[in-house]
Amino acid sequence: MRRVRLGKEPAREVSLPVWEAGSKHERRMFEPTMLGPIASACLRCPDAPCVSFSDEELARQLSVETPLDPDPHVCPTNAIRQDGSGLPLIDRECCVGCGLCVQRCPVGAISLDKNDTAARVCVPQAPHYAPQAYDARAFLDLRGSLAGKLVPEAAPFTDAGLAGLQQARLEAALSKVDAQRFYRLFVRNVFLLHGLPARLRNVGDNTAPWTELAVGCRDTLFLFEIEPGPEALDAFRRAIAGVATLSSSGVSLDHITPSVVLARLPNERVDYYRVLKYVREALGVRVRTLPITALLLAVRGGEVGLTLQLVDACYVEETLISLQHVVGELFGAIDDVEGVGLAIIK
Amino acid sequence: MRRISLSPRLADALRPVGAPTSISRNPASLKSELLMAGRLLASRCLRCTDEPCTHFSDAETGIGSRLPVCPEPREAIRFARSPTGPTITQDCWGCGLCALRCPAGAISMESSVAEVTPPKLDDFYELALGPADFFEGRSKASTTREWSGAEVGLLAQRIVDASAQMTQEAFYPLVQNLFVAAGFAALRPNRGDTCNRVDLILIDDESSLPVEIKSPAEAKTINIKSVQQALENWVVLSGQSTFGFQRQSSSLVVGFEYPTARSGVHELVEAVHTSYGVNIGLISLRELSRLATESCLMGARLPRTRLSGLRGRL
Repeated sequence: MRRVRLGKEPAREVSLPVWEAGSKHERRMFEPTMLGPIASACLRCPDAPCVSFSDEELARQLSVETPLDPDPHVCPTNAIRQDGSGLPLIDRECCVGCGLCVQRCPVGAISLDKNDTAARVCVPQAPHYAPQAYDARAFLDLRGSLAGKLVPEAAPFTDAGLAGLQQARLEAALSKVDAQRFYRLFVRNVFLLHGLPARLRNVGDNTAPWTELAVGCRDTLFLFEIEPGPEALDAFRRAIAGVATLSSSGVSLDHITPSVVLARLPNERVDYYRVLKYVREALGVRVRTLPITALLLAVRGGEVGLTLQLVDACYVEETLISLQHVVGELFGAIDDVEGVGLAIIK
Repeated sequence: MRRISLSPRLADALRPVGAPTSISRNPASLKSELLMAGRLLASRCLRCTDEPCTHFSDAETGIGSRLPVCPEPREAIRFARSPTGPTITQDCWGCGLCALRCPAGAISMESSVAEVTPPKLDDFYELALGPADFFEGRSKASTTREWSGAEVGLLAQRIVDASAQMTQEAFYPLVQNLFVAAGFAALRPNRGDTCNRVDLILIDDESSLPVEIKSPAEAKTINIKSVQQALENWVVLSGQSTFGFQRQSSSLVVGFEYPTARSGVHELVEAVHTSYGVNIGLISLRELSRLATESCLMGARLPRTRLSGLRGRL
């Protein structure tokens, strides 16, 4: 007997079948009519949503034309790939535990426990499913019918809790991989994950000199500058220059929302908040500050979706307390907001 | 050059330092003789007590501190108050600023470092004449030396050559000194002063101009990043009430060279103007050196309005 949580219901004891090789249960578990509280396991999806975004997801139009973002990877550190049989393999050395692949898996077969430093895949215990047995359409129908009905074998993702979000742990993990690439892809993928069209500028590409990442809906274009290091003001400068460039090409200032995504929030000594205020007063531009921790929470937050309205609310000047307040508002559904605030300030 | 023999009285007045100074003299007559003597003794150190070759005056800098002329942090030119005039140390990197400043043209830049032509041992006009006559005489004497455009250009080139590899430790003071030499009071906020993170401020009661400096070691040409910083400097100055500020005043960038056409810098300057109405002015070190040399040697000062309304390159 294992303790699991089913959907929104409180945790309860259920019995989980253990599938044995060659048993009569082979393949039968995927008959939708038979669905009960059974453990989810990898379906070996041919389209591998845990590894790549689809062309349709990447090609969604922004209100301003930008070149197509060519990098389809879900994992910002390239830690996940499919083996020959379609089963995802996670390189535990590279995985930083951001949780993107966990959320992308339609059946909850990838998990990240609060004790885990890397995501792991729930491997089917028996050769219960052969992708070849279904045509593409039938497979998608089947997967759709499974969504929300399977129980992750590991503790539910939201329970991973905020203990797993310690900045220090993330930074330790990032020392092993390309941190710059991680932050760029991670931020874009969080928006894609929440169904928002997002385009990253290629490194060295000058066709869209106004932003590093554009996220758009019909009326407003959100521009993001991403700063993995301590140079918050650099990102900030790029943001206000980006607004100027885009606005001079004919987009109204009212339709542009500049933001900076920072790995670490600057302390008072850096003068960041004061310059923020001066820019609002002198140029009428309000640059939003989004800590990477907020985006990590947005991945892990389960039912707390990331919307552009929430990003819009991330405007603070002068004090850190108010930013803590904003994040608290954003992720009010999460119990341990106090802990989040502390992690952000450090 | 016409040779002039000094009258016994003037010769008597020009005793070496430390010599008895109780000289009875007729100031008017001395003055006229000094003017001729100044012509005669041009290109020799006059041992001026205000030391224009080593320090800008407070009136010039406008900041009330004795700003050294030499941009080298260890000050390669020192006025030792010795009978031989100022000494040039090994630290000299040949920028020529002190040569520009010398009213008598006594510092030559023939070699790669500055060289002082020592005074004649009995030349000490100021002690003998009193400051007022001395300075008036000196100002007339110095204008007797005519500098050709080619000579001035050569000195400007020396400054450019000397600074080609500089890091910001050397480059920032050089730019400051060139601005002061060109007639613009310039203040360099302290490094650790987070309230004034602007590299340099051309201070003015009404419209101070912030200057962003890019040393050649950071970037050979003025780049996008420096324009972004200039925009922030403008914003910071507008938010503070420390210095006189006007919205239409430019924010300046000084770099070693102007940006290339393909760098995107000019587009950004125009975009910033279109979107925010902010002027970003670009000045290369060559241009700034030319302004400084022409101001010092030919008295050709750039009007302040040319800088305060500058957009794009000068």
